[in-house]
Amino acid sequence: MTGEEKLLSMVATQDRSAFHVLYERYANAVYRYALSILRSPHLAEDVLQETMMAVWKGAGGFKGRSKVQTWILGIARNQAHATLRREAKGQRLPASDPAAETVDPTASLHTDLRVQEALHALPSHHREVMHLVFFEHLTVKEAASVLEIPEGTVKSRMHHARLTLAKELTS
Amino acid sequence: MNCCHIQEALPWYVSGQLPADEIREMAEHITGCNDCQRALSLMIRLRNAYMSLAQAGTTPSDRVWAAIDSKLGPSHKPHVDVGSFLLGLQVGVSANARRTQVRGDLRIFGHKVRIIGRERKENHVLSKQER
Repeated sequence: MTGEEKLLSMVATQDRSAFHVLYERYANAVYRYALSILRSPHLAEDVLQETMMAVWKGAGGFKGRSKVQTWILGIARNQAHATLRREAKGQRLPASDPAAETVDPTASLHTDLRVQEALHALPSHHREVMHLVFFEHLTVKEAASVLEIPEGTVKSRMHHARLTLAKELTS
Repeated sequence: MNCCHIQEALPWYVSGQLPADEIREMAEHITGCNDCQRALSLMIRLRNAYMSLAQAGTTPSDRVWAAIDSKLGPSHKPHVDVGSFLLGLQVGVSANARRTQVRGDLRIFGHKVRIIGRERKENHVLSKQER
């Protein structure tokens, strides 16, 4: 049993200290992943809260078939997409306006503005693959597990995202 | 390995998520292939751009944990600590509400003097020592 699995098994016994440690360890990853899908800090915080409550209630159901990180991100994904559908119905989701997001203004000094704009314009299912690979360092298999899609689809989404962004970098 | 396979695997190559033998094989190919070198350069720029964007202002506020903590409700095991570091005394008392068990210990300058168990009698001893 890995250290992460042991921590989760402690959470399954309703150990609040262990749960706080787990929260501290995964809060940023869950929040950033939710943000990559929803693009709203407020909604991403809601998803973080819902995800961690689901972890608290469902830790006993973890079977160890995947990494703890993959399991938690999978829950976050389901929560984020449920929010996405809910918000789309009520049309409360922020428009895909880059200015609507909380972005460090100095970031554009270091990166190509056009690429950032292109990243904003990517469909969310392409953006979340990039996020899982570049930011969470997931393998093809792990990303496929989180997204509940075949490994080939992970590769093709990554390929399309790369082509779209490459146009901006090379034009 | 051909160029198509190499370029498909580049995202995982730059994020270090490939087995060592595959990385070695890819590195050998890229060294001798101008197309794949360009593709690698592009992938590194994309990754850097994404990392820069994703890192900007992306930490959740403390309110989230506070909201979760309040949803969890009161803790099962109330715990009370009393301490007086000015006098060099540290008294710890913990109580398990379910089993009505009371435990206590007294430390003077870090040395444990006595551990109080379940019986009330021993708790009186602690009280005297505290005085």
